[in-house]
Amino acid sequence: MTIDLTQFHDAFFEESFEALDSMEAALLKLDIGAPEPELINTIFRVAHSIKGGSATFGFSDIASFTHSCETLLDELRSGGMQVSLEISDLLLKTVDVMRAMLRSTQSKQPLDMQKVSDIQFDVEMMIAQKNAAAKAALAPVKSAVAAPATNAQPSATAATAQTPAGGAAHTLASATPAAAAATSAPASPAPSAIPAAPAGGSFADRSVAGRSVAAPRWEISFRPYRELFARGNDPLRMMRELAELGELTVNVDTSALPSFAELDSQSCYLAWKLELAGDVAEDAIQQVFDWAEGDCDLRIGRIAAAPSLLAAAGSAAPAAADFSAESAKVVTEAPAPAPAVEVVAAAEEPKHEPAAAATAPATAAAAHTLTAVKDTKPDAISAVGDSGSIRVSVEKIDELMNTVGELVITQAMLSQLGAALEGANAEKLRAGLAQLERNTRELQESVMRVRMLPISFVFSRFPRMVRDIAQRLGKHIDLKLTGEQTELDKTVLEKIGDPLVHLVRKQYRSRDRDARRPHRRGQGCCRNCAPRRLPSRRQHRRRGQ
Amino acid sequence: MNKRKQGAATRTTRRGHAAKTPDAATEHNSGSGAFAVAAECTVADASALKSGLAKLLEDSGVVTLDISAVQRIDTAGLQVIATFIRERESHGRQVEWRGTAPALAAAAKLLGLSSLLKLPSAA
Repeated sequence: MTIDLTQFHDAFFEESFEALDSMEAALLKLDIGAPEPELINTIFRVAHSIKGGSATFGFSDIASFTHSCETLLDELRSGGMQVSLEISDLLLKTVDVMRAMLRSTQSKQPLDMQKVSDIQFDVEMMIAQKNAAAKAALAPVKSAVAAPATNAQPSATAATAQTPAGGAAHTLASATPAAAAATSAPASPAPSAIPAAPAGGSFADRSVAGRSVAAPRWEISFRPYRELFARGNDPLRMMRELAELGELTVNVDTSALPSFAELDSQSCYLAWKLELAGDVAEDAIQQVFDWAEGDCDLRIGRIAAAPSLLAAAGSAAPAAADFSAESAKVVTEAPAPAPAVEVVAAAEEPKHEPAAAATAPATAAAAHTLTAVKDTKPDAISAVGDSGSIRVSVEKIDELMNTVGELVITQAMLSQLGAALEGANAEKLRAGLAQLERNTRELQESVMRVRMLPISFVFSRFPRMVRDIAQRLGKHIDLKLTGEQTELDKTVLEKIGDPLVHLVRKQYRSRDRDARRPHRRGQGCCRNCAPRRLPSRRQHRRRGQ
Repeated sequence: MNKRKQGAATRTTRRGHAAKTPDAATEHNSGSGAFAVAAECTVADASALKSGLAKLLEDSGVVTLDISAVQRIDTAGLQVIATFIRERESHGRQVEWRGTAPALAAAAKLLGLSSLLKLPSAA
């Protein structure tokens, strides 16, 4: 199979760098101890898509590195590990490494692999330490769900109390897989402490689990074109991502499958009708299919929330998951209101089962309940600047600028000529020329505005830098940025970036010197609180140069 | 495609799966009517998989597919296996499974192909 993937490299690099910027920003916003789940999801998504992209393009080093990061992030996401300063520092370092790797791959320059493997080693050590700690701390039966189980008891009551009305369905949906995972634990040959491990049971019961009553449901019709595989896309990956978003019901359409002899193994003949239940934004679904854009017919529609019972779903549910599916069914059929009662029901149902499995699933289920509730919080942190914009290469805009420049010259020439003319039609001509002049000017200004970017483009480098400096000096620094939305021409921004960074750095260096010399204090309550201000003022651009 | 496979190899080992089978896309007939599916069943290996299965399509006895070695499978690989099974069954010929493959079971589930494949519930 030969597909020229190099044509997509530029887009991949560009998107990856942007994604890394947002990952870095999210990491800096991360509160130690009480991280916002959506932030962790944002960070995870970046690592995940870079991994996917680099694996597709054969950048195996990057893929392997990001895979390690992803595993660590997965632990954070599932609550198996807590965000500590150490981890967030390490993750910031991984951002640097990923950026360096992408850059070196892009420019085809060799990279210091030693640093890469050092950081990767650190990441893996951190995961290994966690796993070792979890195994040592818990009874063997519980180890399969070690992560959720550790904080289960205290949070069980909290989960019941916090569940908002209408959130019952979510709670329930996620409680079931947890319970199933717990029950299947003793049977699985190698109990692993990673909750997301692809154990046979955990996926299977997903589609059998009870469906939500109040949550929105999406109907997705996904009909890939034959060449989908050849473009490096795999529907399986998309399904996997969709299953992560919510409750997924899969119906495959095999009617287009030819006879075995006529089957071209590189062509996709299958089509799918999917139903996704959960508090999922349409954008998130669309994103899953981003890579397949243009290689498939895709229709995403919202289904009015009608209480539908169990997913018809692939019959082959593992035996271990059976009872949890049953308990889910019982609860789904219960009337919609009184969510608190339902949660309790979901958590306690398994107690009728043999004693060995009884307590572990109950507590584990409750723990998952809490995370699910957190997950359904409104999307507070949306990615910056991806709403309603398109990506245009700078060359195209420059071309446009040049053409407009020519137009302005021609228009000026015509105006001059028109002014000298005399006769009956000359007045009309001049009126027309005046109109042309106005329009040309507006066009020129619009084109100039296209090149304008908010100065946050440069400012975005500061938080990370300040954090590093603060850490190196062992000082607490509050960074306040104002006027980030002020727009500047892109060329100016590019040129102004480095000097600004230099200025900020200098500020803090001199501040450090001040701190060591007590007689040169600032005006704060103590020498450590003296505010430093970068003397930068921007005047409003004058119109009509 | 080669590079992708290397990435996959490191991934599976780190995830803790037993990486006992070599990462080769070749498969072999283990006796008449039996077929060992290779560790890698991705789009790059799909044509090899297809030609391997083609020999057994007309087999009048019960064909056994040994999936215990399968580490990684994608839609293209499953599509080949699903077409094979569907065609055999439409002619009233049986296919049986030997061994289990979590990767294959999970993939079949996600793609909605479990009922067509009739995987044993333990898989």
